[in-house]
Amino acid sequence: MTEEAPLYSVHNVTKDFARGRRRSVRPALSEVSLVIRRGEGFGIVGESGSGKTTLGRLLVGFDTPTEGEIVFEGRAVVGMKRAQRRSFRQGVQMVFQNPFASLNPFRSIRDTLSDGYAHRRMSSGERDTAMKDLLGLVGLHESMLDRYPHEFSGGQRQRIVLARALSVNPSVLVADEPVSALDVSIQAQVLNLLNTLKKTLGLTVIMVTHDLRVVNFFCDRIAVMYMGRLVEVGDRDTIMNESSHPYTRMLISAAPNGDPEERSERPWVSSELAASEPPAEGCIFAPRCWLRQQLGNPEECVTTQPRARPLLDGPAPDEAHLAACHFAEDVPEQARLAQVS
Amino acid sequence: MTEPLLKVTGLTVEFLGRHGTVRAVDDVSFTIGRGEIIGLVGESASGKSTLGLALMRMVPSPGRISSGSISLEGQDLAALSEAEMRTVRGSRISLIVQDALATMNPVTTIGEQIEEVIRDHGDRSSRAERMTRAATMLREVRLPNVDQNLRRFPHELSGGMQQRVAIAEGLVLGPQVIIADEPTTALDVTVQAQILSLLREICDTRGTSIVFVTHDLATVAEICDRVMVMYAGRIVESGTVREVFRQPAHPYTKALLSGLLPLAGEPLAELDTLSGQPPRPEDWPTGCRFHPRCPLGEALDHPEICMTDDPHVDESQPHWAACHFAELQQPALTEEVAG
Ligand SMILES: Nc1ncnc2c1ncn2[C@@H]1O[C@H](COP(=O)(O)OP(=O)(O)OP(=O)(O)O)[C@@H](O)[C@H]1O
Ligand code: SF4
Ligand code: SF4
Ligand SMILES: [Mg+2]
Repeated sequence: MTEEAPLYSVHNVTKDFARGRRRSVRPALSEVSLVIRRGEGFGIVGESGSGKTTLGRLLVGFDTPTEGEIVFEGRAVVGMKRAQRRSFRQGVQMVFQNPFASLNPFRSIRDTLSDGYAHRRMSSGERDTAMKDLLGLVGLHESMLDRYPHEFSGGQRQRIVLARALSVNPSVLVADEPVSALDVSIQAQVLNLLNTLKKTLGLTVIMVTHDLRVVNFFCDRIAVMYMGRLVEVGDRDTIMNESSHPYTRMLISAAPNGDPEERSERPWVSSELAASEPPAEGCIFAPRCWLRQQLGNPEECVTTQPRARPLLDGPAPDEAHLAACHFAEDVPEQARLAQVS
Repeated sequence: MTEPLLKVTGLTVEFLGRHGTVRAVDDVSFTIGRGEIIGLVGESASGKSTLGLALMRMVPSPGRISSGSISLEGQDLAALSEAEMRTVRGSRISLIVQDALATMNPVTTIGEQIEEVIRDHGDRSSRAERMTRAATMLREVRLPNVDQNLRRFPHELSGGMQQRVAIAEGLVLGPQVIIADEPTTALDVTVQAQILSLLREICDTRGTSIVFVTHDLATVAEICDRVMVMYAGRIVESGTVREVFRQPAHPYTKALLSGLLPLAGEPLAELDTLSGQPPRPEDWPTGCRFHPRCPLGEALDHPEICMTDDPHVDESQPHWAACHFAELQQPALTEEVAG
């Protein structure tokens, strides 16, 4: 099997927002390495403050890494030449959580969308047709071009934001919590739309979210973040159903399963594992780790931070399945014993 | 049958707006038993939070309860004066909201916040005694390191700890009913799991009843005994959580349930969607308020009655739905027809 060169390779990236020469004990992002493939739905999940938005912003070039390197289509993002940089800026678009805040209330939809065509040689007729096609693509009627943001619902605004991002023909879309602010019945419309765009335009969609249900629906591969570190990355099915990291297991078991007949069992909920003081050294997850407890508090957990490493001796060996746990190979078996998801 | 703890009848809340009065909550009736958790689900503008506030007699102006009764152990809260209501609020019925921090006094320590709640309800014990009571309450909601955290200020605690403090505040006077409005929505999922299990435990051990207001059906499945689905100011379906999840009888409930994406297993290829968006009180549709978006109405080629007549319901039934064609939604019945 020949592997295509990845769209993105993230090499050992750290992002520290601390000013001056002093380093934070716990930077927003620490030593993250992963690859993102062309055309995939890639999910970045984690709880509040885990660093997922920070990673998303680095991928679009809004921020630069403090250490490490991000390579896009074979070129390091930092240090691109001007022309390369311009095509990168256009090729990679980001949409944000709040569709209410991200549109200018004083500009019509036509004004908003026409920015994307500003530097393209097009007659005004051609541009009009392009804008109407774009609205059609995101499921809005062309008669809406001359309306203003306040005349639209949340779901419609999110479509407009998507249309604006698509107006420059990007190959990558980074979407930060694109449906979190929407009503359930509207959420489904936007998710279907993103799915269609991914399939028909071959877009790579990087979805940053705390919502496990959304990534399970949308993503081909999933990265799980905890306190600025990548704890696990792998195929959707591996992560959601057969994870090899104790935190991923805990996270998934914490989400209500939505079935009143079979309410979730969570032995860890009422234990001290719920508290979350970060440790000074050792594994970042150690204070909350049910596996460490179950294995009788092995020394490594409190002395050495595990690196995310490939897991090759599972049922489906996969170079791209990484987990940051000294005992990752034991997780599936131990999780069954501990009834953690 | 014994009298329910809380019996709400024909409750209507009106807001005076620029275009006249609008009914945010329209003719709502239901009951809650002791120790029961009842979910109130709905999308934005459906009226769920307004209904929760109305039960507390805390509808913000220019809104008001225009008709109906809220009978708590036989006493009609809707008929009390504001002064009388003040003695009831907190001690017999209390409110926990989504953003706990916003409701706390930033310059008062955690211990004092709760001590003040006790004092303001006419407790004549000494300050030290009230502080002890506050500490006991905080232990009951499992705030870690209570002795230390008592002396801390709200912003010094994590979101999950703040929510525990808010729950302690809501519980300290021993109310029979708690209105919890999206109490876990702002929390991380691991913290949410802890708070939900705490709420469930409180109901089981103290016999407290909870009206759990949320937009999230997954949390309803997790902790509620019964559920009421709200749409456009009305309850459109009510029943035990098991029945409603297994056999939703209203097309809107069915749509909400299909929007609840699976956590495990194979993902769906495409999601069922509703057209349009939830309406606002200024323009509730005529007849059945769901008719402009209803997939069942569409499948039946838009029956006249959906646009003209409000579906009648028998609220005394254990499971009911406000739909002229509710029987058609029951999977068991449709299967029989099909097979
Ligand atoms: N511009 C910034 N300056 C300083 N600190 C920052 C900045 N952006 C993020 N951080 C910090 O970095 C950490 C990770 O933040 P980030 O926004 O990436 O988390 P997140 O996973 O997206 O969380 P959420 O789910 O709350 O959106 C946090 O501790 C945050 O406070
Ligand atoms: S290295 Fe130890 S503490 Fe860290 S996740 Fe693995 S078992 Fe838990
Ligand atoms: S009454 Fe008609 S419009 Fe209303 S829910 Fe039933 S079928 Fe749909
Ligand atoms: Mg974020």
